[in-house]
Amino acid sequence: MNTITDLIHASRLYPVLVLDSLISPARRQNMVHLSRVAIVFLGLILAFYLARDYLPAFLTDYLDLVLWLKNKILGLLLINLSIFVVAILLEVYFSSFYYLELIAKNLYRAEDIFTMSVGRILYGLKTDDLLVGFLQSDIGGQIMRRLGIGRPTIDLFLATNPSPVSAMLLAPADGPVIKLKDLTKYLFDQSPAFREFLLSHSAKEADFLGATKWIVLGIELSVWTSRWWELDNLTRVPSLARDWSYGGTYYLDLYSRDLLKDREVDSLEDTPTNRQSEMDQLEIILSRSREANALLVGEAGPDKVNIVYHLARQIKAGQAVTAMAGQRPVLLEVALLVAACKEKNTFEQTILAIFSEATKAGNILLIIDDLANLIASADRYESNLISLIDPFLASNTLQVIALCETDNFHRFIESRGSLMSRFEKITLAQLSSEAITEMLLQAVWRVENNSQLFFTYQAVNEIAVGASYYFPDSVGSDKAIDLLTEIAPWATSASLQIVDVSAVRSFIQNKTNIPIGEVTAKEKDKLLNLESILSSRVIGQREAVSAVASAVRRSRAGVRNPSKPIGSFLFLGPTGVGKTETAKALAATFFNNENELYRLDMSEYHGTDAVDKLIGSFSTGNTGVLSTMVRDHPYGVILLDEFEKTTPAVLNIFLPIFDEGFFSDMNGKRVSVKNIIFIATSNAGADLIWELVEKNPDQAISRSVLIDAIVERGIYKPELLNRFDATVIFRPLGEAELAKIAELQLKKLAKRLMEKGLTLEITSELVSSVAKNGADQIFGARPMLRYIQDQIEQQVADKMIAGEIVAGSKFSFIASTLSPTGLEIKVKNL
Amino acid sequence: MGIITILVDYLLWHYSKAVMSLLVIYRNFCLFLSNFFSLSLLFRTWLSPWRRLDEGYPKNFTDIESVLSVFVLNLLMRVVGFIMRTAVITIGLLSLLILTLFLPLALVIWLLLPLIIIFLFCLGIGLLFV
Repeated sequence: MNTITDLIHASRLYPVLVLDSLISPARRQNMVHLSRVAIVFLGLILAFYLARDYLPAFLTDYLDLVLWLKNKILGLLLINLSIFVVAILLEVYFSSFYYLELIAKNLYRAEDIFTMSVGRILYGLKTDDLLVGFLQSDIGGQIMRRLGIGRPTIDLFLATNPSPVSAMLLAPADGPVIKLKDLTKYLFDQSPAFREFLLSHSAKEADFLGATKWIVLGIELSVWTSRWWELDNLTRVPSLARDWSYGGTYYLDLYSRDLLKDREVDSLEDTPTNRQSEMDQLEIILSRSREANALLVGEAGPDKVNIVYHLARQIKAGQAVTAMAGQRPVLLEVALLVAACKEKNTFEQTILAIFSEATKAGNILLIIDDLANLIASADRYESNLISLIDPFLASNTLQVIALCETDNFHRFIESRGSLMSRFEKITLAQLSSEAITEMLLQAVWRVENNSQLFFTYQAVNEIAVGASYYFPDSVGSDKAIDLLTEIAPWATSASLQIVDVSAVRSFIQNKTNIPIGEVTAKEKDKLLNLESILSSRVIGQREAVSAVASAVRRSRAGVRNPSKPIGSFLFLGPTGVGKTETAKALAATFFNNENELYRLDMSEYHGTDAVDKLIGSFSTGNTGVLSTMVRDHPYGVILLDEFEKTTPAVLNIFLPIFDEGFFSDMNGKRVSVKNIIFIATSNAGADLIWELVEKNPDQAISRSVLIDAIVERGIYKPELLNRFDATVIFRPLGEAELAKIAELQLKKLAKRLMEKGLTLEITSELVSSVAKNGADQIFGARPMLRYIQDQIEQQVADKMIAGEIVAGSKFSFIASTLSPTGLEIKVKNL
Repeated sequence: MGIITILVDYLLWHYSKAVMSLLVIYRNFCLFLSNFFSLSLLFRTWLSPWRRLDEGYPKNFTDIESVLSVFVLNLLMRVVGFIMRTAVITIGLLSLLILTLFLPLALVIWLLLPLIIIFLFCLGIGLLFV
């Protein structure tokens, strides 16, 4: 074959492609629609004419015209009928070719050469340039639109005359024919200009291929649903009389849902499960002849029950494994059962009745929605539930699927050997963001149909990534669907029509307060001048400020390690030098809210129960302070004050926290800290810092000397120190810095007084007095606030009560030997 | 490529693949009806008790009265089951029969459809200009 035309001519699909180009799909749809409307309209007129003898006279008075046009109306009706039948036949004809597109059916043969979608693009080529042909084709336009690239942008790109791409080397990657994904991959590989064009619009290769897959999936689904006569579609109708051959389940029905009649199961439609491996395991277990019971263990969320729903759907559609055919899956709702049974006797009798009925019925697949809850309730009644249900679990006449959350599994089930021996455990794996994206792609169609919104592929991907990245404690797929559902009304209220990556990021930013949206001009300015902004609050700690500012910029630029906390810092230095203030400044800058700072006084965690207090205790059932803090505030700054005063066991907990971004709580449940900034403050080595500063006041403190000393003294292990993003040394404050802090604090006081109409004049005399008398060699600037409160504020308050200072007064403080504080108020005017 | 070739290709499809598809659709509908009326299951359990409502016989067979009452009850349940199942099986088989009778008609209509379309169109044109 020499040219692309030869290739098209050689394909078995050629005639249908020609016909397709002559009568486009839209035209065919119009043909069907218009002829149907005409048939109904003309049919009604004829029916009216035929029923003239039975109609009231005032209606038939005008029938003369109809009588006169009778033959013409009938003629028109017959013409429209023939057009309608032709249109339907054409649809079926085209559909029979598109039907081959279905991946699962894999009906293409080598002589087809390409799939219909590829054939349409190739047939539409006006030149030998595949790139232009693809971009101008309908399907190419759809793919590009899903990447957020509209027709005008494509036209601009084509106006740059990118190098042409010949289709002659296009070959199938797998299988006998060239598929659409082969064509798009080929274009991406062959055209550097196109590659650059896509990348410049934030569409990577994976996005381009993903969008292609999405479009093909859409074609497949629409073709499949239109073919109602296919066996899979027909068998969805529930069978009659199936129950007659099996026993009834009176007690079970009281506390359960029949999944064959359940709306939630029906609402799954054709969505493929992203839990195929778990489904396969479940089918193998249920196909056994004895003890065919499965225990699904996974995180809280609907993933476990969704697997069961999918199984029910397969049974209903007659697609389940032979052992499951004709079974009636029934979901026993343990909460209902437990709420209804108030006593041990009732509880045991009901359980026995349910299991006996289910066994006798002969077709029950019993699904227990929360096995741990059932066992915990039995424990409460001091009932030996396991020995009660054991004979049923061991028999070959009843199959049971039990669902259980991971932490409850460890708590209530794992240790019970006899129960475990009756079940085969299936653990639900954590879903990857790719698997979540695949599931979202189909859910998006429903959201789009209901909201007039249009989602780009990258936006869907961002939702999947965002769900696992910013909401790590939730079940990925569930959270992703929630995010998708929540974005729709948000985007509608924001008058958005297209939901792209930036829209998704803005939404997540609104929800979490973590800045991840596009950097605005104002924010850019703030980020670039972060050092000076922080320095206005934190005096004299240039190194600390610079370390923190760098971490903020790294995180904001999205280049931080996603499997670690946003940042983890160890602030070393004497008391009162600005360590806490830096943490506050960081919370205010990063989360735009100083209140996002949560403090843990680590000196409270030094006893034998320190670890239990922090992460909870399995034996007492108490939750830990850190676990609760992180769950309640998953986004923020956690200040670990006086870090050195806790026990080595507690310090060890922080090794995985800083390294992997999570820890396990008392129940072994993972708590993610990936959206937290940790700041540990410590006075360790403060004496050495003083010593070094006194020796060489102008030199920087040697980090290695300080850290070596801390390790030598056994305060922190090297592996812990290495896990911090930065160990920041805070220098003791000099006179100049103390004066600045004094001025800063006095300005804050002046601002407060100004609100009462009082003007405090801040003189250098006042500043140096506060700096000199308020600061302390050991406690740094910390006592300064107390000094201002005791000496300055007190005098102002006394004068106000005495009436010497009233609203509108202006005053300052001057040195005075008479005053015990050395300062005396001087009121300038009244 | 002319219209003639396209027409030939269409007619080839209409009289080969589409006819085969029609037979597959017939099979699909047969399976659907069989599944809808649960024919296979009802045949297998034709004489089983209605909804498995049967009672166990007393261990003491000397208590003739109890044994007889259980026997009568179980027999009654089987009779009820038999009658109900027979009714559904009959309707199901009748539906299959109607479907099977409809098949040759559908095939004839399908085979003649191109001619029927032309006939309807020409008749329509004719009536329009009468």
